[in-house]
Amino acid sequence: MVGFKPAATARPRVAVTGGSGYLGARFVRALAARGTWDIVVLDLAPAANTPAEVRHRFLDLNLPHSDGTVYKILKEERPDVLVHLAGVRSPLRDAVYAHELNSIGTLNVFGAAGEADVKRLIHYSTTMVYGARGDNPAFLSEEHLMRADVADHFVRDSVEAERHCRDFARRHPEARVAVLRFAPLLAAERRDYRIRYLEGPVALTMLGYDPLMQWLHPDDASEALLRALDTPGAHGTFNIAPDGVLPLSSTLLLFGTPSIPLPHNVAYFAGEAAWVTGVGTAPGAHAHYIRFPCVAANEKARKVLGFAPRKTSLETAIEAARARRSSGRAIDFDALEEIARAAAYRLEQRMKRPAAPTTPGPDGGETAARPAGTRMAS
Amino acid sequence: MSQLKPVAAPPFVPSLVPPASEEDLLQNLLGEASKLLAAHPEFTSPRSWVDLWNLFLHRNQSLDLDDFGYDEAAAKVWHPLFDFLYRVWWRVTLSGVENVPNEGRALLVINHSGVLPWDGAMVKHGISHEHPARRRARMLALDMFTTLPFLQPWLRQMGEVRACPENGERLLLRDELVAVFPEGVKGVGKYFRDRYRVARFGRGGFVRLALRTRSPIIPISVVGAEEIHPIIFRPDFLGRPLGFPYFPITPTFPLLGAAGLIPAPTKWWIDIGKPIDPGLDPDFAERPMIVNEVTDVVRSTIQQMIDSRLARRGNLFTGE
Repeated sequence: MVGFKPAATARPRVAVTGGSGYLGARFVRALAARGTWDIVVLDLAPAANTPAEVRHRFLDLNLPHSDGTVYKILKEERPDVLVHLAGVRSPLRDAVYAHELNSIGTLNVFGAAGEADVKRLIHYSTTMVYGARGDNPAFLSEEHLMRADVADHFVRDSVEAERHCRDFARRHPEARVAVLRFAPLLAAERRDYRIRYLEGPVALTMLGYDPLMQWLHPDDASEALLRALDTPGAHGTFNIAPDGVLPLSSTLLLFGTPSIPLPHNVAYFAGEAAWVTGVGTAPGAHAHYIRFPCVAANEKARKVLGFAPRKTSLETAIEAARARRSSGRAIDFDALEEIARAAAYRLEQRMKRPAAPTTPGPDGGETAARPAGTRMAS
Repeated sequence: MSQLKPVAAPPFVPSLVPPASEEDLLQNLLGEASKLLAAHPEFTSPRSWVDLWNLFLHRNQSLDLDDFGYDEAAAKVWHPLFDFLYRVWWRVTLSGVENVPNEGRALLVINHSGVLPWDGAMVKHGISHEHPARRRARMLALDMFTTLPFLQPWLRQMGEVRACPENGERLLLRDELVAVFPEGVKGVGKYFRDRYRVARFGRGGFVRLALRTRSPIIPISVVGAEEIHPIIFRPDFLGRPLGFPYFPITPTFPLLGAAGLIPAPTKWWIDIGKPIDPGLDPDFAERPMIVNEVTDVVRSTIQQMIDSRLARRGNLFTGE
């Protein structure tokens, strides 16, 4: 190793924690296909069909002194960018384990990155940190506060991870830290708690509530990570959300699951009871997300990262439901796909309509087009 | 004598009933229906019955929503009810519809009354029917309506959104018609003795919205809606535990139960005033005194419109 110098034309290097996970492996494959980055995956084991040129280094964030391990690896590898994707993405009954991995794991990774002098970081977060609240606006922008219920330990860990991330950015003002808040991912081959909830056999819902959901396609999620990597100045929070919304009831319709609507004050207890007995898929406090909307705006990511989601929420849900349901259905998915395509087109047309406040000309160019009204002196 | 030939014993066969094939069984049980099932094997799966049930629940909904969740197909179902209320029940007279622009953004400011927000529904119905461009206004609904069970998905399907600056700005920037009720709860739940006295207009949030998006403000007065549910008493100690901002006591409610929620068939006038264009820079949105002044101008305009209509109004129910 002595005297080793990288060639002048060395490719930039990226280290990906959790690069063997569902999204991580997808992202690593897409990045390796480009061939412009030197990729190191830090995970428990390499994923199946990982490209040969991707190197794997063992990392277990649950072992004591994991920050030292991360530091050692980062010192040896000297990555230009660290992408932190490691974590559990479904609520675990072992809340302590999940907390150690999602919250403390992030703290350790960021601490080590600071010591190892990594200049760019990309952190995985979720739009659930905004919290599902009755007084949420229809679209949550990045300036919105993180108002998730603290009783919901699964989301609370994500909120804490973001705080660690923010602390890191405060301590290292020269570093570029991009926090990507992903809308709920929905993919047929990913058996996370959302698919398990949507597949049933029955799904608990709130009587009289039908929140709007966003479903992000995994290809769009991976594309967003690539975009963030391609944007050297990416700093701050970005919502990675699809266009269009789909009510929960319509999602359950696609999956062919009967809903059990319970009054909301009963549903939280029923959800918690189902969770502790092992029937449910998420803790009771997580049931806010089937009561109130938590829909994120994606304008900032569009503008700054150039992220353009290719699938709408409806298209993603149809794709996942179609793949999960092989036979025994009374729904014509071909017809639904037609509908979804037409809806996506109309949605695009709607969004194309004049947005951004136009700056008026010197003689009030924009005001002249509007009906003449009484002008008030201030 | 001929000898009888011994007959060979038949080989031993266990006496099993040959199993009927599944098709035969279905044929016997269901007759013609079995052919249908044979042609569509998916209907023998329990999940497809769930599908049919879910499709039945969705019979009036579509999957083609706009990004706020407005469902045109679902909204259409309620059209006959609103048309009946508009033409027959309240016999609404709408004037000044020419003040609503054919295209482009505008902020409709309406006085609020009548316990339940029927006034907003009627203004919206009136504009969408009598305006040549058939413009569909979108209401910014109070939190108390958008968080209540059953009302939340229903309002969303009808195209209403929660009243907050972010939603209003997004809609106005997309050149939509946005209707607001700046009086809020103070207006919709006012006592009968305070009728037609326009309450304080919030904190001028709608003016800031109009200034920031450079939208003209169109004042609208509704006369006739104050008397549909005259509030005699409003005990807060009853409303609070139920999660309502108020619990109205009217001559008919809660005395007659659900029937007390039938509004009185008064005669309504909806007057749409000339657009008020403050003509100010968006920076003025950050100057509270100026915002307050514009708010006052809009409020007094609406109060004058109400007063002049009241002066011409005769009988409460016939209007003559």
